[in-house]
Amino acid sequence: MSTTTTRPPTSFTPILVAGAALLLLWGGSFALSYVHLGGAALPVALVIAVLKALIVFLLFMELAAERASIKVTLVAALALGAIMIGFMVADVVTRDQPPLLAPATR
Amino acid sequence: MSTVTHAEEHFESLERQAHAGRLGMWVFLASEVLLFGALFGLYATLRAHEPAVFESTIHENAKVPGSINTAILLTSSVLAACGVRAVRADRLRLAGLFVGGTMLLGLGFLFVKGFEWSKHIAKGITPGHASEAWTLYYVMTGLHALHVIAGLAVLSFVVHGLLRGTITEPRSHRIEIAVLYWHFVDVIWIFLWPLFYLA
Repeated sequence: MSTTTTRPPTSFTPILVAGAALLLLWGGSFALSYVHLGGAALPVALVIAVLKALIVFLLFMELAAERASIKVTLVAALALGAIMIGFMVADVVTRDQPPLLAPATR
Repeated sequence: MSTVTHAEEHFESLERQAHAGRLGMWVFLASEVLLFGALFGLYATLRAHEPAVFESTIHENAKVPGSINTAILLTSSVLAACGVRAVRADRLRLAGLFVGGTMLLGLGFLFVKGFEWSKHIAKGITPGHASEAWTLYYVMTGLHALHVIAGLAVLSFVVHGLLRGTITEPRSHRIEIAVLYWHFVDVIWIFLWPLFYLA
């Protein structure tokens, strides 16, 4: 059975480039927080956060070079977490108002 | 310096041992995803229920210290990743400097966090005596700070291993596994920052 996999290189350059990208995204998030984006502010901030998380996962944690077993472990946890959060939010935003109001006191 | 290149006897190769170690850490991190996922779910439901309360909390929160802390953690992750590469290149002294720098930045994060919390507490904003948004802020950032402390403990074992020669180029998976945890702590903060300080 083959046990050989290609380990990531030892060069610092990709790490430093990724680090510069992370700090650029950090600056972008900080600057945008002073711009009035209304309802788009939170989605925009979260999209930038996802980009930063992808850089950390794929390059720093080397998920891109890992075997399928490790990728499946993370994807399963993220999917289960997303399902849980999705149902929690769906419950709150679709909950009906109480059908009866308290009777007025005389 | 140790030049051990063989695996423990219950592994057929050092590479399989390294993979098993990394898989074990990823399974642990998956459980952490679910722990923080529950809290992010709680955040989403409370914010969906009372958006104005969360907006005022974010407006009052310490944006600059929180943002400085984000830059600190991102930089610490860069140093930690460089530490892994340095071990793989058999530059153990340089790796020690990178890991030491990571730990210093982690301590800096905790210092800024303490400063931030003390400012809130001085204003009377304490858990249970302010809005649900503030209570959740203390719970989530407090749990994250505990993870930073745990990460510092893990990294101190790495420094110890580098000094004793038990972490070397053939056994670079030991630093890889430890640093995975630190990066995960960074990823959690990447999401806490916009949710409690920016938008």
